[in-house]
Amino acid sequence: MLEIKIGNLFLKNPFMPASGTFGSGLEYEDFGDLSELGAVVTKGVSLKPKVGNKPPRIYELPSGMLNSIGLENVGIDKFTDILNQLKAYKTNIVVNFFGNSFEEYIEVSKILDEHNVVSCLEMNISCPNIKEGGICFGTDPHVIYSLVRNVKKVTKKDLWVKLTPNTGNIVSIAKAAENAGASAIVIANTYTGMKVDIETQKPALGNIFGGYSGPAIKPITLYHVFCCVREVNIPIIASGGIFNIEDVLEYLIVGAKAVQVGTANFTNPCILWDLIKDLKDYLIKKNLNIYDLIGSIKL
Amino acid sequence: MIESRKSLFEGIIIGRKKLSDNIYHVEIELNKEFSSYKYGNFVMLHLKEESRPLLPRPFSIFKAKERVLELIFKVVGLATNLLATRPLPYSVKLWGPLGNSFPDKKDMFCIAGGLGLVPLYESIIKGRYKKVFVGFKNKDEVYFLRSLLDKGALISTDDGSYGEKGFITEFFYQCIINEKDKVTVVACGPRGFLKRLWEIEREVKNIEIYGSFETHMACGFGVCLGCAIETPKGMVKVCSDGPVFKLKDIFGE
Ligand SMILES: Cc1cc2nc3c(=O)[nH]c(=O)nc-3n(C[C@H](O)[C@H](O)[C@H](O)COP(=O)(O)OP(=O)(O)OC[C@H]3O[C@@H](n4cnc5c(N)ncnc54)[C@H](O)[C@@H]3O)c2cc1C
Ligand SMILES: Cc1cc2nc3c(=O)[nH]c(=O)nc-3n(C[C@H](O)[C@H](O)[C@H](O)COP(=O)(O)O)c2cc1C
Ligand code: FES
Repeated sequence: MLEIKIGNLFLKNPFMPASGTFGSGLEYEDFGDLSELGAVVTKGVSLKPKVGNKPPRIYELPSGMLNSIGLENVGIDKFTDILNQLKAYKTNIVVNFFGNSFEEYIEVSKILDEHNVVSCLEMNISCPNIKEGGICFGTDPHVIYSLVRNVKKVTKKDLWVKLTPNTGNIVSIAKAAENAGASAIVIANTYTGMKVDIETQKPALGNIFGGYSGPAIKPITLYHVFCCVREVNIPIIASGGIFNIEDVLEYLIVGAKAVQVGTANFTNPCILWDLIKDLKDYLIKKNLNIYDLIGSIKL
Repeated sequence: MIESRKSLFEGIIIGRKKLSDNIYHVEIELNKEFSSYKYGNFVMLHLKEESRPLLPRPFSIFKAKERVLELIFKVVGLATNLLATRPLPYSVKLWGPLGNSFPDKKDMFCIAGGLGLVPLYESIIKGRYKKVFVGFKNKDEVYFLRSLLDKGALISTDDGSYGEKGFITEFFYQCIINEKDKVTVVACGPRGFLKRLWEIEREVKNIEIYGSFETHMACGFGVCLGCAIETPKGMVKVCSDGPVFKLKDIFGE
């Protein structure tokens, strides 16, 4: 009833964590059986270890949070040890990765391609292209087309592209990723924002600005999903402000095929398992199949 | 050593007592037994029915027995205000036990500043320390007094309204400079208090002090990387590398 297919992957249900809010997955073992999730999406990994940004790194706002973690990670070498521990789980392991140059993206993809435990790669394009003066990769359709093409050359695995909403042309980026061979599009990452302490007149985050996530961003990301669904044919996975079953239903009705839960994992570490049950109950009550819901929006 | 496993609890706040001006004690009835925990562990507590605050808050475990967890907190902002004022009973979500714990060695000294007493209190009562030092701002903050006096604790207040007058760190200093043997010290209190202890540690030399640190947290178990603080040896996560650290690892050798 809940099964879906995304590219070559079969998912038991449309639920998975959003990268960076669920560690490697192993940290959540005490809260639920990872094998029951549609997929596990791991914390963003890069070729070399990254120390991340200066603290403070999080700031809570009335309807969301700012984070400037700075993609801290142990680097691909150490990460592969963790990957081996994920073999025990009967679910799809999706590895989120990023780079600061084309070469880095490609190197990491090559390494991940060699690991059987990896079901699929999720490419984070919300990072600065250091060689090109630090402009974000994810804002130029030509850059994304060529990046996705080149990564696809070194991996036979499915490639999902996770878009940044911090661009005026998210639909063109989605199309470019599709044309270059992506299997699915993830919409979207966090919205760049900041907070100033009026007493000290200093930014609240050590990095000055950060990514805004949580309930506040849901209507905006929902709109981006709505726009992209009309223009691309590959599946769309939604990520932005999912906290309860109503949020999930809205995204599915608009046309997302699966959802990623991020910040909400911090308010209830069992939320993914709770949502699986809630969706199942809802479909039974309404006597529906999940495919009856996806894209069922009436305009 | 068997690591205690963390788990999620549904809780109902069934009791609340005002201990002083802005300090409260709450009793939370849990939907299942609280597994074994160690001194220094904490829980993340989320106010279930509120849309604000969005994130949970860390609180040290004061006491936990069977299905009742007790916390002590000071009202400082949004979550602690709600905890202090919402009509009882009300439900919360919490997860734990989290974090590492204080060391367990022979003949340790213990020093607490203000609410830093919370995670240490039970171990003091159980007689785990050779010497105990507890400091408060004023008489108003002096709760659990009798039981501490039974344990021969040295108590001071900044204004002298109870016990000795002055900062507890200075009474500790006077005592520790005369110690011949190497002493392990466990400490909990505000950052300035821990910093002063670190200065004492550097001067006195034959002591090793462990302190419990605080930051803003989102997850409480090492996944968000939001609680990181900078140390001379690089970034550490307060929630999962700590909250207990050797003072030298945080402030430097
Ligand atoms: C391991 C651990 C154990 C603890 N144990 C206890 C305990 O037993 N008892 C107890 O009372 N407290 C304890 N604390 C502290 C407690 O977690 C905080 O007091 C609590 O989170 C405050 O929540 P609040 O919503 O009331 O305050 P908030 O509204 O969160 O704000 C408190 C203050 O911090 C500021 N602030 C908020 N976010 C940030 C940020 N990201 N960066 C900088 N400043 C910010 C606010 O402006 C405000 O001045 C513990 C903390 C830790 C880490
Ligand atoms: C603390 C934190 C860390 C994150 N780390 C990553 C990351 O490493 N890679 C990535 O692609 N997205 C990362 N994100 C973005 C989330 O995966 C998610 O897309 C975003 O937060 C929006 O969803 P939400 O509102 O449900 O949190 C992070 C978000 C947060 C809050
Ligand atoms: S609070 Fe999330 S890593 Fe420490």
